[in-house]
Amino acid sequence: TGGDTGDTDDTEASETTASEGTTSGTTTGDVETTDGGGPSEGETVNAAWVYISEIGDLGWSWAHDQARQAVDEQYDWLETEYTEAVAPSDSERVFEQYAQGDVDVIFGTTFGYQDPMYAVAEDYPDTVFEHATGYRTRENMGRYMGRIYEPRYLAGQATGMVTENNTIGYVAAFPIPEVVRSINAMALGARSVNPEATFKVRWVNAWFDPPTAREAANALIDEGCDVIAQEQDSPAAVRAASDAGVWTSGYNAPMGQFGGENYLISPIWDWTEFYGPTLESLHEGSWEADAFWGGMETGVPMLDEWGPNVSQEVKDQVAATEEQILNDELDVWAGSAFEGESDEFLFQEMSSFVEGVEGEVPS
Amino acid sequence: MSFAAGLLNATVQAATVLLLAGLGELISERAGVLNLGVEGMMLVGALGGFVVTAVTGNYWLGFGVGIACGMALAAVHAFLCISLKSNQVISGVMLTLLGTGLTTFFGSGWVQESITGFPQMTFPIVGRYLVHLPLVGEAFFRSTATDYLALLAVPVVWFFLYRSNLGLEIIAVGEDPEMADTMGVPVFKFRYLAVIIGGGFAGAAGAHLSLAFSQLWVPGMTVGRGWIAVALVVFAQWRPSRMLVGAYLFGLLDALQLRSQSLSLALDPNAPLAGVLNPLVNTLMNPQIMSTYPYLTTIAVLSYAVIRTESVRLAVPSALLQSYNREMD
Repeated sequence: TGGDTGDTDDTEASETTASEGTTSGTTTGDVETTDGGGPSEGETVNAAWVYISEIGDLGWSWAHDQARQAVDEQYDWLETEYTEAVAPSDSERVFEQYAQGDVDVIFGTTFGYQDPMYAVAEDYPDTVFEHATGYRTRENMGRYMGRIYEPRYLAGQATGMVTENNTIGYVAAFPIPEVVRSINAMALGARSVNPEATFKVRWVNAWFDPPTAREAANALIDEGCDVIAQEQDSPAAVRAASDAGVWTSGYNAPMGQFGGENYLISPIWDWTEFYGPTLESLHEGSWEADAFWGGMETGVPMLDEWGPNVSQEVKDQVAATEEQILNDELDVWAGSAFEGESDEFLFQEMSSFVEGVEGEVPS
Repeated sequence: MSFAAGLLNATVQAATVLLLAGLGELISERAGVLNLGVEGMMLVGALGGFVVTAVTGNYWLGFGVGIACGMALAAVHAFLCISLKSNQVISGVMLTLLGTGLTTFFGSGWVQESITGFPQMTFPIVGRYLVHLPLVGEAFFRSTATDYLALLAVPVVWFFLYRSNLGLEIIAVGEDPEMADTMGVPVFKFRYLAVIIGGGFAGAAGAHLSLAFSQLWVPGMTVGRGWIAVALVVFAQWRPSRMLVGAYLFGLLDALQLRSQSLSLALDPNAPLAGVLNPLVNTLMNPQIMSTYPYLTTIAVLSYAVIRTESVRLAVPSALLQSYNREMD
């Protein structure tokens, strides 16, 4: 997968192109790519991360911080710092503090930071800003996200193959395009191998609420679901499924130890493959504001390890499909209501379920 | 499991946390000390219990340690508010921040640990038969030991407060500390006692959450349930029996919010009034709207209680929030 590091002192043109290729190859939408700010070529890069939640939650922020630690380890010219549990309403102050200091690049990792970050980016044109999950960019502010729907589709195939009741439960956060997209991809994956498979969705209305997530999983199991998937910032639903003896798939972080005997596999993030090339381009002075929406070929969205009792048949099926996705031979949305839709639609506007998901997206 | 039985089962599970934490806060407030640190005390209880269970494998020991952790944090509040006479609101909020901060700092490394906590069991002796009762059997007679303890705590707390000398003296301290002091009741000692017992209940609520309900630890896992417990004390008008009603009502609304998502109550589009009723039902059943119902209910009960103060005794401890200074002349 792309974005691996070479000799860190090497600033030859070839490597610059390689790291640029990773980002621009997956560009979405119209972005101005004029030169932004950032450090001078070859100097120490000071990078700061701002997280919405505590990093210890095995969720979204955890995944980003794992990558921060990895790049910090990897590059001796890089200094990193972070602030956790920053509400969007407080984030402008935090961004400003970093920008006033000697920080060269600030990564804001939640959607709610978009407008505050944009405002601070206008005031500090010499600082580079990178915002995850949003849609706004300017010359010194890029955006990034990964096509987690690809590993979702693969995990969906696994759920479709193991379900005996043909009923799969999904513990979901909020009815927004990001979450709807994941549910749809999983359902399409499941139905690609088992046309009878249906999905039931419960909305927790929170990213992080372990007790409610567990209760949502219990409700789904009571209704006959024999596989539980989830989009939550905690492993509570996975543990609930494990305790009830049904199959389960997590999200964000490897969750095998919570799923126990009944663990399938989880779509997870390896943000190192985005942060690495981005920081390298800053170090080399070649950074440009970009819109990164990388698929599995970039190594950002991926799958974790299989659970102990998954059959070889399931593993082989998923491996074969993964190969197709990596070779760009399979479009997850082919044959669905969303076939041929633009990246912009997929990213920002998907607001209905595909066939096979019960009910409607609450409005 | 039928819809109703499943709903009841979920209600019992959701109510236990609120019941334990609410009873603890009730005891503390009855002695005249508001403790807004419930959330913090629950978190230290949840983490303390989890760590001990992960290390020793003994969830009863973990539960005990969870209670002790809640008590220890409550003792800080007691010292600040009773001995140093600082503001109860500020000290309580500080306690929540302290508990959240400490458990996030020390608890981050424990997230990946996996434990075997309290198992589901039938109620001792009679549970074997009663579990087959329709509707309520599974909900009340196949649960975790901590669910049973929370239910048993209601009559115990009631008896303690209204029928034991110690309990009545604690109430006296919360109503009129000067008078109690004159009558020879050790005000400071009993306030300490009530606050620390309250902390123990909050710790138990947290330990139940990590050891019995969730079987895992994540920083911040109480997600505001401690604050709901504080609201429940007002809802219950400082009475243990109404705390039971309140906790179950809140638990029911919580469970209903998730379980009603599978129901379709839409009328046939051709039925009379369907054009008006269907959008109305859709709005009322919207999960995001439904998650506000517990709070709307609290507002409704509070308004009702305040409007009808003459006929409904609110039972606010008269000396709530007041620190006691013994006159030395």
